[in-house]
Amino acid sequence: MRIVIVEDSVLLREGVTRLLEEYGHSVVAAEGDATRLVPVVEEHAPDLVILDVRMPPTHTDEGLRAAIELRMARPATPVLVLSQYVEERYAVELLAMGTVGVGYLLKERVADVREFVDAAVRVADGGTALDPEVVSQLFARSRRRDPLATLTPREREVLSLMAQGFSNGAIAAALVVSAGAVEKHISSIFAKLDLPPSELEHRRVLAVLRHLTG
Amino acid sequence: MMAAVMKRLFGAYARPRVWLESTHLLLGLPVGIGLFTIVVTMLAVSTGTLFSLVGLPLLVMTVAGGRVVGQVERARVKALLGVELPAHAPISWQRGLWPRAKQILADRPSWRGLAYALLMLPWGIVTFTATVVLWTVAVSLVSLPLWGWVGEPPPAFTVDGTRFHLHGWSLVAAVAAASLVGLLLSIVLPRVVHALASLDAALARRLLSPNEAKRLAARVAELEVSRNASVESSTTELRRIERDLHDGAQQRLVSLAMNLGRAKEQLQGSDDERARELVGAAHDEAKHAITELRDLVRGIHPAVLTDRGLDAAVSALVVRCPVPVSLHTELPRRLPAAIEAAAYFVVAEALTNVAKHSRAHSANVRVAERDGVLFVEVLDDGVGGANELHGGGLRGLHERVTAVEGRLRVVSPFGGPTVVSVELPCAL
Repeated sequence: MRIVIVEDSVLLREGVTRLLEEYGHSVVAAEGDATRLVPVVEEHAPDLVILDVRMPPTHTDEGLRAAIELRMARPATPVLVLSQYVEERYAVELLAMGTVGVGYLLKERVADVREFVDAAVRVADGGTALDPEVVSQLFARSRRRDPLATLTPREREVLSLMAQGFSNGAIAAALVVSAGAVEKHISSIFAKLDLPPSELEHRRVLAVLRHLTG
Repeated sequence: MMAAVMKRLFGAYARPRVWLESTHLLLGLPVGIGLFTIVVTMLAVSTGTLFSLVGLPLLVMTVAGGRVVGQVERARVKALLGVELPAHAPISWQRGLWPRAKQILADRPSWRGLAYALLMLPWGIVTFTATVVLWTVAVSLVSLPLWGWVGEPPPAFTVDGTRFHLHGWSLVAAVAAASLVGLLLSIVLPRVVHALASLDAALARRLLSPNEAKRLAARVAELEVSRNASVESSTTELRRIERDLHDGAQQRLVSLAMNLGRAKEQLQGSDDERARELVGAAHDEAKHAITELRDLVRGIHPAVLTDRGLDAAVSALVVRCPVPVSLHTELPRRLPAAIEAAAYFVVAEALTNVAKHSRAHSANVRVAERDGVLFVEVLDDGVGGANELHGGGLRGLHERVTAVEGRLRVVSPFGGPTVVSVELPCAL
């Protein structure tokens, strides 16, 4: 997998580069700010762009704005946004452009290296990777528009993992239940939330996110 | 006993005050004569030659002299009477000779200084005369018994053509009576001198110092400016600290945790259980430290408040609150950073209290800006009894809110509901 990294901290830029290379990916460009993002992406046509939210010159949200801009210019480019803070508001802005090939994770998730690399691969493959913190914020926000309140605790766990972008198999492994049990929960969730049933995993995630952010 | 009485009656003479005040009152006459002469001459000459080349500059100089009079006289009052008179604010000079001349001619403190100079002559006559009479009469009466010693002939006086000579017991009685009057007078003298000196100081204050109400108004304006500056600077300072932590410690910790994570993966296949354990524990610790630091930094100044404003920042608070909260915001524009921060921390603290103490089932947050005032209200259906004085957090809020000239109200009867409401002025 060919990756572009945009991160202003040299320490992290190099650390993440080394980490990804250990897992057999190649970092084709590492930038210190997002000003040249679109030309760099056009030049290298990477499989994934990893972006920090806060970067020079204003140190506010240029990474996020650059990500949105990039997805408008080249909607097919998968983008994984990392941030010291995750805010539901940013997630909604990012997901408004579609949930295919999007990730939004707390920066510290890179500490769990294997999970982080898995999430990066998932996003590059057109999947979704949302931080559990964002998902719980989204849950809280829509808590009162509630078909969500009718879910059982187990169904909520399953929904939360789905929203983070996990596949059925990964959910079953995380909850230590059988794949069949997960499927049963999912169809129950879809029925309760009045979502169209779908076999394709990413379309399912999409439906869930649309429900949460809408 | 006797010594105490003496000290009480005549002690004033052992202290410098009566001497300094008397000197000041005596100086009133020469100062008055001098000032009067100079000012009248200068005014006469300058107005007489007003339409010649020298007249106008001379008049400007004369008027400007009013400030000098003020300076000198305030110094004299301070040195001799110990009364500190505040000086007028200096003229904030415009550019150019002519505008400055006009500024001087329109300068009230200068004209008041001149008025003082003119008044000092009649007033100086009063103070000088009173002081001289008081001191000479008191001294001569008290010292009357001494005159016999130095060989003065006994006093005599004439009533209706009959000449009376004082001698024998009548002389003693008269001298004793006169001395008694002298003693009484010398008891009163320091007080009379002090009263005159106070009058003098009051006159100087009236004419040579800015009016008290005006001075206070100026002071309030000055304090307002410096307070706004300090509120503003503390807000920017907090943002700077937040950014420094973000760029420094947080990145370093994330990098550390990542390296520990990589080490953990490397050790996965190793037999060294002890090493695996240690690295695993260090990895967990590092992640905890990151979480703690993140919460701390959010408490200092949340980044989303700077990036997206009050609406987004308050939404983030609401979704983090374990109690269901409904939120209504009407914020058509971004507000000054200090106001946004104050409003944000009011909601944060109020929701913390809701979660920790209120036992509420639901809460309601309203944030709306109307006509240059930001209204914030947090209402919960909990048990009430929240007290501004008891809750340290609420008191902290009070300080935060008053620092930006806002008002905080907490209504929380036992049994609830609790309403925390704030009004923050935010100029249009």
